[in-house]
Amino acid sequence: MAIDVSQLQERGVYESRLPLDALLQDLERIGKLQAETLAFRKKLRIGAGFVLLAGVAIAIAAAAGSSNAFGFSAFLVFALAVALFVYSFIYGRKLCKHSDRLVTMRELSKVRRQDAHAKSPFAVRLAIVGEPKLIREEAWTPRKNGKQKFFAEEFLSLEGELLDGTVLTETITELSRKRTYSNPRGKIKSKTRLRYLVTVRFAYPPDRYGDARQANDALHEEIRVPSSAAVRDTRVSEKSIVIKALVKMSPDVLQTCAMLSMGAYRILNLARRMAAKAPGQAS
Amino acid sequence: MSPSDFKCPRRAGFLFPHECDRQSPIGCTDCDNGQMNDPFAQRTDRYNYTGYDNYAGVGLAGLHHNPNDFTEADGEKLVRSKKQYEDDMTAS
Repeated sequence: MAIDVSQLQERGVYESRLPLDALLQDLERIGKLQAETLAFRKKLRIGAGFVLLAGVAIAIAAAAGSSNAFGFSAFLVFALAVALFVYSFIYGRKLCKHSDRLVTMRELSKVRRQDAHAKSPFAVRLAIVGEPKLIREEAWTPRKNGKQKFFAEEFLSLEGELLDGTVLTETITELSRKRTYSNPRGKIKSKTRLRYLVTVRFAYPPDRYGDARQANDALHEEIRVPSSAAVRDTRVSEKSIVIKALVKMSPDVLQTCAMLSMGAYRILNLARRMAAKAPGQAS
Repeated sequence: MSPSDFKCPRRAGFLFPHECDRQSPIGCTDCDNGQMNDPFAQRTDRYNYTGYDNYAGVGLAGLHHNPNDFTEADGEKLVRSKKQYEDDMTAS
């Protein structure tokens, strides 16, 4: 499937419904597009450097020859160098800003692919450019003129059916807190802290797994997560398992997704075995 | 036996066991070219979920057998049939 590059650059969002193999191909194309964009930006900066050198040479010539035409030319060349340098930061900014999100999506798809049918379609949404929504704003009293704002942005969602008929829904939300205050010199300072909320939901088929609450009670096991993460909520019902965790460091997001899923399936795998042997139940 | 007749007897999968759909164990990274008997249980990439498939010591109220026993539910019956995906016109 061809990627709508202009839409991707305009909105900074990739949305599709397709099998995971096709998704991985799309993500690879986006990765190449990002690499090409970064290479072009680098060329622009090198070009700006050469133009700047040319401007210096023309300025020296203008000073030596006392030529107004040369002087004006030097000004134009300097302006061009600055324009190229600024443009190198603007060009493809939306596409390249959160390249780590693309890596997370790609690695997550590889993990999910191991338990999904090759043709099972997954609904995917990946926001490559950040558009956080303001959740709350309040005064921050410990510092002079202190203020803090809280933002949230769900940048990744993936939903599809696994080989056992369980529907997996997972989302990753970036939570940011931006504090601004005045330091003793009167300068305005700001600090931003990021956290990631990972939510996984497994809507399992009761004919295969029975009621997972019994298995959860029998297992009585905590969901394991990396050291920088903490489980915030675990809900096991007769239809689904939902687990939420808060992650402090972005490199641990992928591992947290995998470990939350393993925690859920520790329950489900036991539930399946219990259901398989329970009287009057199908395997 | 032709390669198309090969049916891998091993359990594959990351989260739950399911049948392996490979045509041959040669080049298979899951079972390391057929050297692993149970690639699902013997995986080493589950972070600190060691013993992922081991339920020894689990309270067995209501469970009438050892939870570590391999059951028919661990095999192909667990997997949704491929035909359902082929009939699904919403897939690309």
